Amino acid sequence: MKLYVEEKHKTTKTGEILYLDKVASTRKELLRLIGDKEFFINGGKYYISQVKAKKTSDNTALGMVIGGVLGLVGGAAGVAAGGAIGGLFGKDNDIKEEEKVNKFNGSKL
Amino acid sequence: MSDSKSLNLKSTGAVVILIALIVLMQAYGADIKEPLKAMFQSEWLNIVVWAYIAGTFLIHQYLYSATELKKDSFIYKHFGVYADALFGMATYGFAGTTSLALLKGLYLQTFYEQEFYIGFGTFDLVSMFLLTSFLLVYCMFNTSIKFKDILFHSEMSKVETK
Repeated sequence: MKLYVEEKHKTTKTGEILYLDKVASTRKELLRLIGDKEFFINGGKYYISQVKAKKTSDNTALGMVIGGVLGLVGGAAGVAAGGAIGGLFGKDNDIKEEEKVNKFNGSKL
Repeated sequence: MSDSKSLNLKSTGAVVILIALIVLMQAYGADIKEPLKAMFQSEWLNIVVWAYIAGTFLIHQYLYSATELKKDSFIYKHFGVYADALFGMATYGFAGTTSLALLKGLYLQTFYEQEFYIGFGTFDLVSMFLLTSFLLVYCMFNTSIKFKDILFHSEMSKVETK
C-alpha cells in the first residue's frame, strides 16, 4: 500500500501522482506521524484529507507463476497444484492489501 | 445496458504460462528429470537460494524501512525493525533451503531409487512432499513479492511541515 496525493500547480491538478515517504493505516495515524493537518511537497501545500491510499501490485498472477515453476519437480500435476497454491497465496495477499487501502481511504480525521 | 469487461492481462498471462508448463511436462517430462536431478545435486543451489533471500530482504529493508506499516510482531516491538528483517531473512532462508533438501531426497528416492527416507510409508512421503512444497512456494512467493517491490521501486516525495 502506498499513500499519495495528486500533484497541484497553484490550484490546478497536473495529473501527476506524488507518493508520500510516510505510511499509516488511517488518516489520524498519518496526522500523528506528520504532526500537522497541512504539509508541503516540493513547495506545494497539501492537506491530510487529500491523501489517498492505493494498492501497489497484483500478486495473484505472480503467485501462480512461482508456484507453477516450483511445481515442475512434481511433473504436470505438480505444476497445476503449485500454480493453484501460489495463486491462493497471491489472492490472499491482494485481499489483505485491499482491506488496508479501504481502511485508509474510509478513515476520517 | 452495456457490460464492459476487460481482459486481466497479468492473470491471463499467468494461466498461459501454467498451461505451457503443464504441456511441456507432459511432453518432455522424462527429458527434464536429468536437469532437475543435476540442479538438486548442485552445490550452488543453497548458495543461490540464500543469496536471493538475503539480498532481497536487505535491499528491501534499506529501500522501504521508512514506508512500511508498523507490525505487531514481538521481535519488531522489542528489538526493532532491523532485528525483524534479520529474523525474517533467517526464517525464510532456513525454511527455503530445508524444504529444498527434503524435496531433493523425495525426488531422488521417487525417480532414481536412491534411499533417503528408510522406513517411511507412501502416506508419510506424500505428506512430506505436500508440506515441503507448500513451504517452498510460501518462502519463494513472499521473497519474490519483496523482489518485485525492489524492481519497481518508485521515488517517494519528502513530506515537510512548517
